[in-house]
Amino acid sequence: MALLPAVGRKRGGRTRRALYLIFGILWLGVVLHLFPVYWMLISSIEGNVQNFSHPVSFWPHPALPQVYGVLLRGASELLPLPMLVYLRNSAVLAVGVMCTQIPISIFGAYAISRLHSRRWARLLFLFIIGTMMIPSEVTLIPSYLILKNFPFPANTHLPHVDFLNTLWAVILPSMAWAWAVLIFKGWFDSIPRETMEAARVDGAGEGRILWNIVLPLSLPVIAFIAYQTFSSVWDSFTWPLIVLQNVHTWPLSVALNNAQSSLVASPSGPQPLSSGILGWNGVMAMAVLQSIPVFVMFILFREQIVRGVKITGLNA
Amino acid sequence: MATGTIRATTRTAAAAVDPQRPALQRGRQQRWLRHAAWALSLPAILAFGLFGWYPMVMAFVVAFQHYTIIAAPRWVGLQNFKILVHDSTVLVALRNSFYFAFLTLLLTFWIPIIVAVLLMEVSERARRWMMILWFIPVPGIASTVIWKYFYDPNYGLLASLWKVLHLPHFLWLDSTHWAMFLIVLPGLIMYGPGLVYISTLQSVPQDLYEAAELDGASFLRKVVAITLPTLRPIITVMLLISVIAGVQVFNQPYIMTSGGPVFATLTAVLYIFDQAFNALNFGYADALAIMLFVILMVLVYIQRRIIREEG
Repeated sequence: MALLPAVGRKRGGRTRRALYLIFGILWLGVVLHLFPVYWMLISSIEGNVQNFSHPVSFWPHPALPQVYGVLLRGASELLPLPMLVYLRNSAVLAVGVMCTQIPISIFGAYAISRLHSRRWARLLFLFIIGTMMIPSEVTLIPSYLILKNFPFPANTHLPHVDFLNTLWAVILPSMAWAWAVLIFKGWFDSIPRETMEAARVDGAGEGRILWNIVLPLSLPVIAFIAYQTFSSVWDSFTWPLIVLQNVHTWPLSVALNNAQSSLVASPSGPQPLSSGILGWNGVMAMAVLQSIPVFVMFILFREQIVRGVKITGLNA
Repeated sequence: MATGTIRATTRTAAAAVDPQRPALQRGRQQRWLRHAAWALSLPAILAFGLFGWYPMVMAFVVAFQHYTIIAAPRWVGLQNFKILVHDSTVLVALRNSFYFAFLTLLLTFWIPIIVAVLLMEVSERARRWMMILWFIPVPGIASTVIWKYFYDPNYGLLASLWKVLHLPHFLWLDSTHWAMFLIVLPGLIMYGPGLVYISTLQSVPQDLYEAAELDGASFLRKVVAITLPTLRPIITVMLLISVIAGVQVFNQPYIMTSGGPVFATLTAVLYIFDQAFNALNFGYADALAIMLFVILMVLVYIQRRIIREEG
C-alpha cells in the first residue's frame, strides 16, 4: 500500500504488472517454505521402501498410514519406548515451565514496577536482567554440575539432591527467564498509575488490584510470553540432551534426534531394520508430531504474537 | 467494587472521629505494601539467584579448576587457559562458528526484510494470510531433521534429483567443503523471525509515501528514502542478535554432522559440549566457554561502537 501508487492498481499497466510480480514472488516463497512441511507429511505415510525409491515423486503414495499407530503405541526399531511417553514428557515440560516461570515473572515484575521503593526496584531489576549478560553455554557446565549435586557445585557427602534425569532438571533453570520479567515490567510500567490508585482509594487490597485490574489488562502480553515460552521449551534441545540421558525422561526433540541418528548410524545408510517398516518414514512421522503443537499454537495465538511483537519490539 | 466503596466510606467515617487515624492508616498501608513487595519478589529472587547468578559465578570458578568426573575438583590457576592457547582445535572451532555466522548473514538474514517490504504492498487482507503462511514456524529440530533427510546420500530427495539430472557424484554432508554451507542452506526457505519488520513498517505514516509519490519518486527511490531508514534501527539490532546467535550455533551441526567430516563443522559450542560431556573434562570445557564469552563481549562492544558512530 505504500511503495506502489494507489492509483492504477485496478487497471492494467505498469503498476498492475508490478503488483502481479510481487504476488508471484510472495507465493513462490510460501510454496518453498511449505514444501519441506509437505514433504515431511507425505513421507511419513509412505512405506519405508518407497522412501528409498529413486524415481522422485512429489505426490503422496500412502502405503503405511499405520506408522503413527506403531510409533505411538509400542517400542520400535527407532524408539526404545512408545512415542506417547515422549509426547507426555514434552507436554509436562512445557506446562511445568509455563506454570512456574510466568507467575514468577509476573509477580517479580509487578513488585519491581509498582510496589518496591525506587532504590530496591532498581537493584532488583539489575539483579534480574544481569543474568541476561552471560550467554547460555557459559552457564551450561556449572548449571549441570549444580543440578547434579544440588545445592552444591561439586560431589559432596552432605545431603544433596540429584536432579539429573528428572524433568525438574529442565523446569527449575527455566524459571529464571529475564526476558519475561523485562517484558512484563515494561508493560506494567505503561499502565497508568491512576488506575491502581483509584482502586486503592476504593479499599482494594494489593492482591485484588493485581488480580482484578492488572492481570486482565495484561492478557495479550501474557499470551505472547506464554506462546514464546511454549515454543522455546517444546523445541529446546541442547539442555534436555545434557540433563536427560535416561530414555524414560527424553522429550520429543531428543527422541527425534536419537531416532534419526540410529537410522544414519547403520553402516549402509538408512535401511529397513528388523521388521522393515520404519525408516525415514518413521522419523518424519515423529517430526510431524513435534510440529503440530507449534503450528496450532501459532495459528491460535497469531493476533497476540503480532501485537506482542509490536509491544516488545523484538523477537518472533 | 461495591464492597470496596462501602469500606472506603466507613473508613472516611472513622477518620472523621479519630484525627490520628489517616496517618496511622497510611503507615500501616505502607508497611503492608513493603511486605507484599517482598513476598511477591521472593520467588523471582530465589529463581534468579539459584539458577541465574549461582551458575554464572560458578562458571568463573570451575574454569580455574581441574574438574573431571572421577576426582574432586582442584585449583589449577590458569592451567586450563594455557592448554587452550596451544589447542589447535580451538581455532578451527572458532573459525567454523564465525563461518556459520557469516554464511547466515549472507544467505538468510536479508530475506525476511525483503518479504516485509513486499508484503506491505498487498492489500490488508492478503497480507494477513500471507504473513501466517510466510512466517509459520517449523520447530527447529524437526526442520533440521527434514533437511538431513533431504541430504541423505542414498535416499534423500536432493540426492535422487541429482541422480535424475545425471550430475556428478556429490558427497552432501560428507563433503568437507560443502557441509557447513549445507547446514546453513535450510535457513533460506525455513525463514527466521520476520514479523518484527512488518510491525515496524506498519507504523510508518502513509502520507510520507503519498508525499513522495506526488514528488514523482520511483519505487526504488521510496525504498531507499523512506523504508530503509525506518527499518534501519531494527535491522541493526537484528543483525547483532543474528551474529551472536550464529557464533553460538549448536543444534544444526550437532544433528546434521556432529561436527564432522574431519572437524569441518565443529563449532565452538560443539567443542565445548564435546569436552564437557564426552571427555568429561568440565574445567577445560568451562575455560573454553569463558573464552567464547570474552570473544562475544568484544563483538558486542565493536558493534555498539559502530552503531554509536552511525547514530
